[in-house]
Amino acid sequence: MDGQDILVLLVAGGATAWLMYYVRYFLPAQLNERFRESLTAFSTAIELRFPTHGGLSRRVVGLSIAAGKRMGLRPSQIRDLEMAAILRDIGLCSIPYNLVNGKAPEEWTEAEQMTYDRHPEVSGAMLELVPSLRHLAGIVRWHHANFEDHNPLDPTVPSSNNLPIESRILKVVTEYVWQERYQGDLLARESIREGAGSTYCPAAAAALLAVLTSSRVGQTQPDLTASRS
Amino acid sequence: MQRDPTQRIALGLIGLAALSTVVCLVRFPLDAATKPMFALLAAMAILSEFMPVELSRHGMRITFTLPYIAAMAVTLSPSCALFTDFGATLIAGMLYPIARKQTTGGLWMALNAAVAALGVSAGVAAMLVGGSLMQGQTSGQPQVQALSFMAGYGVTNLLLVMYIDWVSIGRPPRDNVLSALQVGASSVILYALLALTVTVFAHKQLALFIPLTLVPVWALRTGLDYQAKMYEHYYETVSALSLMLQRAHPYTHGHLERVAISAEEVALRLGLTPQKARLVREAAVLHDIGKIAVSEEILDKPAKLDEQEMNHVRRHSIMGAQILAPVKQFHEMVPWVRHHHERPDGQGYPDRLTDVEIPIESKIIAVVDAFDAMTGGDHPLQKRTYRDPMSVPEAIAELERCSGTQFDPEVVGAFRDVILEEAS
Repeated sequence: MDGQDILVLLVAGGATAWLMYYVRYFLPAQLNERFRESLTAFSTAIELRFPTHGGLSRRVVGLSIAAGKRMGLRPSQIRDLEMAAILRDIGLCSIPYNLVNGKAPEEWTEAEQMTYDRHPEVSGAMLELVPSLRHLAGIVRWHHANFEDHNPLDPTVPSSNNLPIESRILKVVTEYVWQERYQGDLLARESIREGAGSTYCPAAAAALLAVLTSSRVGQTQPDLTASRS
Repeated sequence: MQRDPTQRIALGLIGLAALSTVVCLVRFPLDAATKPMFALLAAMAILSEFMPVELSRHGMRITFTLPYIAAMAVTLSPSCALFTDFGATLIAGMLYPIARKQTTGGLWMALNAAVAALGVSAGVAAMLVGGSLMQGQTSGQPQVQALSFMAGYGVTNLLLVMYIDWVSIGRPPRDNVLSALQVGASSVILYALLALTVTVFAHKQLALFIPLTLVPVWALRTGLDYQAKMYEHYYETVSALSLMLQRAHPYTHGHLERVAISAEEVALRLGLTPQKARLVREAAVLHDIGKIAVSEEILDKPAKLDEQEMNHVRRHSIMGAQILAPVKQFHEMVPWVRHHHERPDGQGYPDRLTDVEIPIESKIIAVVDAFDAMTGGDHPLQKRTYRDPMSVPEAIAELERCSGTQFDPEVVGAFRDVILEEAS
């Protein structure tokens, strides 16, 4: 073997070592970063359309991750939960602008309420169209489903423990965050406690309440006033 | 009997491949096919054929057989390389459709095998040229021959695929060039390095080390796979955002597509690179994304908007830039989206930029967008204004009337040429 052969093999060995590091650590992190950037763009679009939702998303994401971790979800499930928490309201873009920005929810007619209530289904349908996000469609579609709502007319609609665990967590967290904004933390917690087992998955409700009374939301003490206007 | 163009090309290429195969077999006998090294390299080539990466949404597939084929051509015999590549392509052509539950015609399979055979033939020719340049050198000859082979093979393969795609499905050659550029210089260098390594091992009869080359093959494959995922994710983000806009304002469906296609054409005509023109196309798809934050009641109002309503609508260019800003891959197009309503006379919005300050990409989007708004779509929902849609000549006349004040004259000229060319 002459000098040139040895040089080729040395360079190839070095390049392989670098390539292994690059594909094992650098590229997965870069892909993850790209996902986060896109998700931020989607949630920015929704928050610009409906400024009343401003700031809610960040709090929902933080509490969902904390509750998911407390329930022992795997890292891949936590990642899906985080992405679903950001994308859950993507279907809101099909809700008329003036419905959300022009009237308070209590002023909505029944038809307007039904239009609004369709947004999880629209979000799910939209995610079905995006191959890399398709796996989140099921989570997003059921993120407002009541835990004990059995639909006798449609057996394909899941309920109780047949609902994806991530949907059950999102259900309790999104409703807590919404109630917290308008009624305050204590009443919102009380409502979650009362709904556990009927409206909310008991395990998810317990995990959220535990998170709220501990310091697991990325801060020394949960800042329960952060998203209140 | 009348044959379609694909059939004619296929038959022509198959004939050419058969001729080059005969020449190769006569010139370089298959004696080396009995050596264990041939069996090893052939096995590695076939194995690599089954580790492909789908590189783009147009289905460009990269396999890793070439380093083994090149080593075989240099160290054993070009006929062995031709025989192996031909065989690997045929086997993959038969097994892939079965695995994917698809059907592939025999003609396409034969065409692929013919492209492989012609690639090897061109590679052998390049290898002979490379070898003659190295005559008299005591070392390095196999490496130069392997690199020459790969260059000849790669260029021929790309040219043939471009030609076949162009004739059979009308895919513009520049799309294939862009897909090829996606591979990136570093991947090409690593690919060449892999071929050199396999050639050194085969030349020095170090057969035991050859299977180890599957490690860099796997790493390179994983890297390209991530690259493909990122590319795919980019387009999915573009699609998802435009889908959100279409949900909010259904009339945008069709409008965005038309604007995007024309914007790319105009960009190319103005001399922008194909990559930049592609980016202009994507920016054109997203240029109105800020309208997601605009009330549809105002946007679809069948009457002239008052000042307050106009101000509400005018927010969309700033908001569009705000939505796209978090995505690094959109950074280049963020100013284009922000300034697509600026005017050369400084009367545009949001920043009242003057002619020289407005990016050419924004000027292109402005002209194409205005034309589509004036002419309206085919569907009643796409007729955007309270006025009746204009005819194409009327809209072009209006663009020319506003050229220099509202629109850039050079862009209007290029756009007029594109429209007239399409009409003729």
